[in-house]
Amino acid sequence: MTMTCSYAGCTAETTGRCVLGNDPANCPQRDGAPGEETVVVVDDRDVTAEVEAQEVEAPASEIAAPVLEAPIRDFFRLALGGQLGLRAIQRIGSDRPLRMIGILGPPNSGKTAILVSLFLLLSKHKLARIRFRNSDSLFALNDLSRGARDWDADGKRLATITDHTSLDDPRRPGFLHFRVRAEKLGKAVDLVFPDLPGEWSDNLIDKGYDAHLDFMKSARALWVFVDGSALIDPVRRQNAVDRTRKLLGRIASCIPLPADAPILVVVTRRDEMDEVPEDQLELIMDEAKRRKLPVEIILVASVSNREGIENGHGIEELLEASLVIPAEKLNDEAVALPSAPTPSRQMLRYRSVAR
Amino acid sequence: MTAVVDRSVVLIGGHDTGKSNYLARLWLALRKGDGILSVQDDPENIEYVKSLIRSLQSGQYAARTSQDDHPRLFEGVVQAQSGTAGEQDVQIVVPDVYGELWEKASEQREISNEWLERVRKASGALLFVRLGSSHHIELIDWITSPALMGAPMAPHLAQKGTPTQIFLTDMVNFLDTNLGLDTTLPPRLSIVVAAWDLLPPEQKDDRPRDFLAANYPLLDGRLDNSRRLSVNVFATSITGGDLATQQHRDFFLQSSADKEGFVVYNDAKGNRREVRDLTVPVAWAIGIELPETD
Repeated sequence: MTMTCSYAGCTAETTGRCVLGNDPANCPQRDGAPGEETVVVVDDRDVTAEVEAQEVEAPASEIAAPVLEAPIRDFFRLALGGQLGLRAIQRIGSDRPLRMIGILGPPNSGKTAILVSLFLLLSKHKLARIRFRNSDSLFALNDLSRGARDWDADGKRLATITDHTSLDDPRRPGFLHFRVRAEKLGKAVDLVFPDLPGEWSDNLIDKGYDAHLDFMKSARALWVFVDGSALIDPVRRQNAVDRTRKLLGRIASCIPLPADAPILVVVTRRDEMDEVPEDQLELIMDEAKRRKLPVEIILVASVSNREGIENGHGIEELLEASLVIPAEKLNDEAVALPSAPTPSRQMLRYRSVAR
Repeated sequence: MTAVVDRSVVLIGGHDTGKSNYLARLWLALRKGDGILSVQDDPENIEYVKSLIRSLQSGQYAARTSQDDHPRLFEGVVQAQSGTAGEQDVQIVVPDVYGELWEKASEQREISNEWLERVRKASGALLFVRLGSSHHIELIDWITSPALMGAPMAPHLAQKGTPTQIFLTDMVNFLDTNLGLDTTLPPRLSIVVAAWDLLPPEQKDDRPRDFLAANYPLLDGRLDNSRRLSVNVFATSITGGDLATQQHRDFFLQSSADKEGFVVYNDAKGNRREVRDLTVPVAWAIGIELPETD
């Protein structure tokens, strides 16, 4: 049987040569190699969180490795650069430390928009302390940014920034990858974000936990989205707060995160607020305290129509708050510690009591 | 007889990024003989390059490369004058091919095994970015340009092709995995920012790498993330000015095509250097160390 390899871009099956420089017979990327069946998300403390692998077919977006001899192809396939499945995340994680930032939130709360905004900000070097290094989802991010605007016939921007997220397989998550250099960490870090439809969060709230959310337990930080425009709407705000509180309850009972994994409640559409709805935010914080969750609220605007609120408002702070420096490395002189927040930045952030 | 060292260099870039024009100017520099690389004998398959040179010598940039996948091979023995290593003979092979091949590879996510083999056997590559190219495609900028918020989006959404920054970053990803894989040499990538003469006067003293950081942040960031590649950035002008302007074209025709043009780069100490030797990007790509500031 022909030896096959699951590493994107490797032609070992036809050339016998491993692009990673390994002995093809013993390369861990080789299909059938030991340990392939667990998803290992490794952070820079070498603490592994093993997630039980799911017996699934490789999705169409991944390069499928044939298991039988195949004719020699005339063309070499490049890595697709699209959304990544769990197997692709596994491959990245086996090669270098990886941090997953979990994302939950109802439909139309701005989950995808923030990732698109992050990508475009990086593409224009608009972030002061975070720099792009690479992405294995380059084309997926480009596609999302191109499909990012809905306009009416008069050319006026509609409320929906990005197309509604849907998955090729409605039960399997797709991930977006960023490799960035963060001043806070003093080095580059690989981040993956699940791009999930809001219905997954609705189902979590309404129907309870489902095993296909197991990957969330490996998250090194968790973003819980709230549509900020709902919090300032008298008709919608009570339901928005209620749903968020229930979601925090599900997280507390069903998604045991690492002790130092921050939970960020991301309140979107900051530009639509004349005043920050502090009373509504307090209700959310009260629930976080009751659940003993280490929650911080950050207000963001993926795109802004308001003077004084810039496009991407709060995104850099959100990302930095998600990058936790391991305790044993806080004495490392090479690690830059965050500066004390300025008064204006304090308005962005509300912090509950830590665990 | 001095042993001949084998090297090959691939030219990579979208169409209208200046690869063929650079090849023509490279040959003129080789023949002139006062650069790091020089040539004494005509290489094989010279007719293709001579046709490019004729265009330049008549005050015109070379016409669009024929659109097929077959490479035009520029192949010959050059003498490499390296400060510490003395002189050595280097067999260089430079396949030129139309830029759409690389764009098509990026869009369709596949490349022929023939070209994959060329890249894997190459010791270096030149990746071209050209100022002022009409084929440059921007990422849709609605996030970072408030003015664009109120502008009609239809023209932007109708724009076909991969944004240039995405394409370039993708090519670096491809090269970082494959360049020189079948050789024992550490692979080198020369980023060539072509048509540097089009910059406004106040920017012409900028460092090429700073230009990339300001205008191509994704590519710039990716260059700091190479696993296997050594990278250097060269700004070039093959004619010393824009032949589309009558004034410069008149000047150019009064001069000589092998006298005009320059290369800007940072030497190993980080000092900005501007030289007239158009062989520099290729010399570095094949492993020759560049002279430092005196």
